[in-house]
Amino acid sequence: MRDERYRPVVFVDIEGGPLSRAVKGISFGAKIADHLCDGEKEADIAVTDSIGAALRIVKETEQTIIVVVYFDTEQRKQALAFAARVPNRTRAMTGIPREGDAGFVPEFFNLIKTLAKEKSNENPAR
Amino acid sequence: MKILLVDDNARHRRAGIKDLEALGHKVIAISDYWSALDYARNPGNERFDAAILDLLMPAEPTTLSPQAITEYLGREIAVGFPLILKLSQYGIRRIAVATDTNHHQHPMSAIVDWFQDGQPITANGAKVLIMHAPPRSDGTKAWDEILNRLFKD
Repeated sequence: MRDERYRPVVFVDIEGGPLSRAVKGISFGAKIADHLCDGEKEADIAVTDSIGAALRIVKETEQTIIVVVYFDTEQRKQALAFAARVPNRTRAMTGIPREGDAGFVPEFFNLIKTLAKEKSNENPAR
Repeated sequence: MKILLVDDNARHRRAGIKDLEALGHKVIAISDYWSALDYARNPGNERFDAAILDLLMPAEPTTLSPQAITEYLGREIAVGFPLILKLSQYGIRRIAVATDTNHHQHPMSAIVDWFQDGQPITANGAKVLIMHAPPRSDGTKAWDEILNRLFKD
């Protein structure tokens, strides 16, 4: 039987090739997009490691959820501050989980799963 | 006319392009203040007849230290006011700042109330209008109405 569940569209905006490929490689249950917007259709999720890119994506889209991945203390402060400022659109996730942090991979999986469920329920005929 | 539209909200920009182009105007819509300044001051670009600006836009990272980025990036600042001064220096003769932020929600939006008396303002020879944006039923700004008020003499 064909899986008719909605597959969220993920756009990866990360400069480094290996990291970008890794994120694309673990986007299970999602579709990878080459562009943030396809006409008026926006990606459901954008992943970036740049706080400047995160701000740009907030301005260029209306609905896209922006995942800001951080790796060090300074980036963490910036990502958390920005996510607190734009809480409905932004999630800050650590690329290097420490004790008590879920980390990027499980949080990203959960986000894809949650969006897939929400969007499938919005359009059950899909 | 050629109109510069500066607004960080994608929905407002799309509505502005649609509304103003439907009236026959050419619209350049830009989402951040640094890019808007760069575009307006570039002598290679055709001069704008008017600019319509949002008042509150998120702070950009340009020139900021890492600490300042943590403190300010994405925080709404009232950049519409200094934009009036720079864009008028670049020769734009009609400039409107139109905010959709309720005056109960931000102190700088409350200050827009000071300018509701209809008295004309000029900056570097440009006619300036500072106003609360009239809303459409879908929540976007009524861009055509803003433009009408800007050109009403």
